[in-house]
Amino acid sequence: MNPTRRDALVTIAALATTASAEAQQTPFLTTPELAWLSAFVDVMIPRTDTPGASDAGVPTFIDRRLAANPALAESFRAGRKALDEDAKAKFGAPFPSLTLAQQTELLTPMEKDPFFRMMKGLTIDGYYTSRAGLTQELGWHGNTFLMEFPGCDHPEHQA
Amino acid sequence: MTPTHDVVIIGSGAAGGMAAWNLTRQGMKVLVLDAGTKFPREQFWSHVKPWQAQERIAEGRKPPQFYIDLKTAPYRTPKDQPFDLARVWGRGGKTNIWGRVSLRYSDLDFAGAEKDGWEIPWPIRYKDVAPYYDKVDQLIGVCGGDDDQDSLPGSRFHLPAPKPRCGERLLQKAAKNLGISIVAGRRAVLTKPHNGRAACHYCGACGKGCDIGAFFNSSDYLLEPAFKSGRLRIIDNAVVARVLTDSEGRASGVQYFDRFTKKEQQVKARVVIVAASCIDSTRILLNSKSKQHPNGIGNSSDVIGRYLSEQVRLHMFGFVPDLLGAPVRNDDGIGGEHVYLPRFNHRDGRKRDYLRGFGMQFWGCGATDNAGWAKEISGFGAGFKTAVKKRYPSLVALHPYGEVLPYADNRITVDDSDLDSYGIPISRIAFKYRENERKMMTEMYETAASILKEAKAEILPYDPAFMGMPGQAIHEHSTCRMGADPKRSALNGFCQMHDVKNVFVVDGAAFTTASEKNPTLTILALAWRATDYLAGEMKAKRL
Ligand SMILES: Cc1cc2nc3c(=O)[nH]c(=O)nc-3n(C[C@H](O)[C@H](O)[C@H](O)COP(=O)(O)OP(=O)(O)OC[C@H]3O[C@@H](n4cnc5c(N)ncnc54)[C@H](O)[C@@H]3O)c2cc1C
Ligand code: SF4
Repeated sequence: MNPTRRDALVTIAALATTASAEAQQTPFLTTPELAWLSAFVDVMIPRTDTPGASDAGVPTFIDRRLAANPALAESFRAGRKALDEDAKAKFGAPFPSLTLAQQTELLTPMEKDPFFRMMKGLTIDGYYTSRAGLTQELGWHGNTFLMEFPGCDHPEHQA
Repeated sequence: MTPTHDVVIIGSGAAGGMAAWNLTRQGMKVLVLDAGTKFPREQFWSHVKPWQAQERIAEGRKPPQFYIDLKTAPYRTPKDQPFDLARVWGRGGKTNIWGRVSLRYSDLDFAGAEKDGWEIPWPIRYKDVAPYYDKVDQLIGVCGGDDDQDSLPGSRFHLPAPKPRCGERLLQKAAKNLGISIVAGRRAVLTKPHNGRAACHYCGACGKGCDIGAFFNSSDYLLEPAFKSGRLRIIDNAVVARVLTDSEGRASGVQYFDRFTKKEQQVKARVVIVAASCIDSTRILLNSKSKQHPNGIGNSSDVIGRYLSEQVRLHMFGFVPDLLGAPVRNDDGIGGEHVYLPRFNHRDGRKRDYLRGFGMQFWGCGATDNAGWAKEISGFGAGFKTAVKKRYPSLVALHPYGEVLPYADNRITVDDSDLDSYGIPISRIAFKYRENERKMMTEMYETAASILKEAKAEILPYDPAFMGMPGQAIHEHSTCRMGADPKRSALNGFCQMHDVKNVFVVDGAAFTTASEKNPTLTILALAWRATDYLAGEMKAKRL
């Protein structure tokens, strides 16, 4: 992983410049595309005792990213088509209609596939910056006001 | 006829802000020209959570846009030599969003070239700058420990150091086993109220700008107090093109363009201070051509534009076993790491196959407001989710920064036929790492990995051949360097041009070498020192 300091510091600013200045009210993707996307991101990060990716609004997050980036949208559409074709060839139905076991079998060898990596990356970006993903799943409770910073008080961690 | 100002300063970041504050304080009338305007603090998104920011953006709202776009401010690079230049136009410049790491240079830096013979040494030493470091620390407020090292001196005036996070402690412990000291970090963050300013509330939002100004930024800490003197005037949105000269080749004023109307303007000045940040200052100097200065103002030595020194760095991440699945803490603290690993490679007596050295920063240890690193964790589904959650509190991040040697052909040039929308020649940055940097990087990788191994951490995959994208340390220096010999340097030790006595260059361009440390504290100290000298020269009517 080779992020830059700017990546870490200016995610918000970067998002704002990639998004159009216009408010984006309606979804960019079609209803069937959004349904497909929900199915896909829930395979990536399913609902467990905490919310899953679509519970956390990841499809909307990705929809906005695609709306702002035509090349990304193009990759999504092409990748979706290819995955559905694979799914049909192997199991006789498009990806969302497969069982979890079939979906897992299809995706497991794809760890290095560019489409898979793109979709996993977008899901991670969306889920772990969502309220549910950050606070309920990970337990983040930062960006608040503290009088003191407690720091590490574990004797076993001291040098 | 327009009036002649005592001093015109180009830029209002760390360098220009310090010059303006120190000169107005001493009775000078100062005009600052800034390419941007003030960033409205009340509009910062410091306390907007990531998911709220996404909603706001979808509604078409934006936080203040700090970074200038390439359309307004283009620069060129050779095809195979990318350089990622970060610039902020506006009052305070990059100090609005800087990382705040505030480390003094030592004589390992100032006298380094004297020892190893690579290029020229600084014309000044730590003892010359130390009193100014002392004053800067007290003025802006720098927190830190009292654990000085030969490579990291001068902890006399620190505000209390924040306690390290658990992950940082564990790295400290591991490094100690290897004989390497990780000391308290030094950062320009107010860990208690200071000079009438509120203390930090540990929200970790510094990269978005601090809504209460609890870390040093030039706009609140220098420009606003300077306004109170009644002697400061700032012209906003004034994009400077050139320093103008009279028939004897002395500076007579400055030419600028209104950022939006693009209308040309000129101001007259007795003294011009160039402080537009290293690369933009250099561009202005190279574009200031005249009969006396065919090569750009003050450039008879032909060093201006040359020796561009950035830093070379890498990022390594791991998960420390003691914190896997541990209760998640609020690890925000003062927004960056609370520890620092000072340069040590000069100490162990081992002969190395490269010159100079590196230090290490640790920003991003512990629980943060995203989990981008999860892309490197294999798999998907419920098992993946558990794997991410377990690792989340245990993330540690190591970022070694190494000095890049000055090379004559790591260079900024301007091309009179390649103009921006104001008609100003655009700078071309040709920069690359060489053998010395590659060899140092090898040891930087090894050191970071050895600390992680000693901590028994799971190390995220990395590519040891990765050199990083030049420019991304955001520490540009040396393209108008100071030195004792006017044939090999453009400035004297007071940032004054050898060739043109009424021009001073007070930003990173003036540095003789880059060092492995972040430059801003030294920029502030040198700009203070230079303007003390300048004020003295003006009072004595030598300028
Ligand atoms: C994300 C980030 C993290 C950083 N972290 C650290 C850190 O931890 N420690 C550290 O020491 N440094 C850090 N830096 C670097 C630090 O911000 C700079 O060293 C410092 O701001 C340099 O001061 P300066 O005055 O030279 O330039 P700047 O602060 O960039 O100011 C330049 C000024 O010049 C003006 N200007 C530019 N061009 C023109 C023109 N043509 N005409 C008129 N005005 C012009 C701009 O509007 C601005 O006011 C960081 C920078 C960034 C972006
Ligand atoms: S952590 Fe402190 S300095 Fe940083 S933004 Fe929050 S209050 Fe300001």
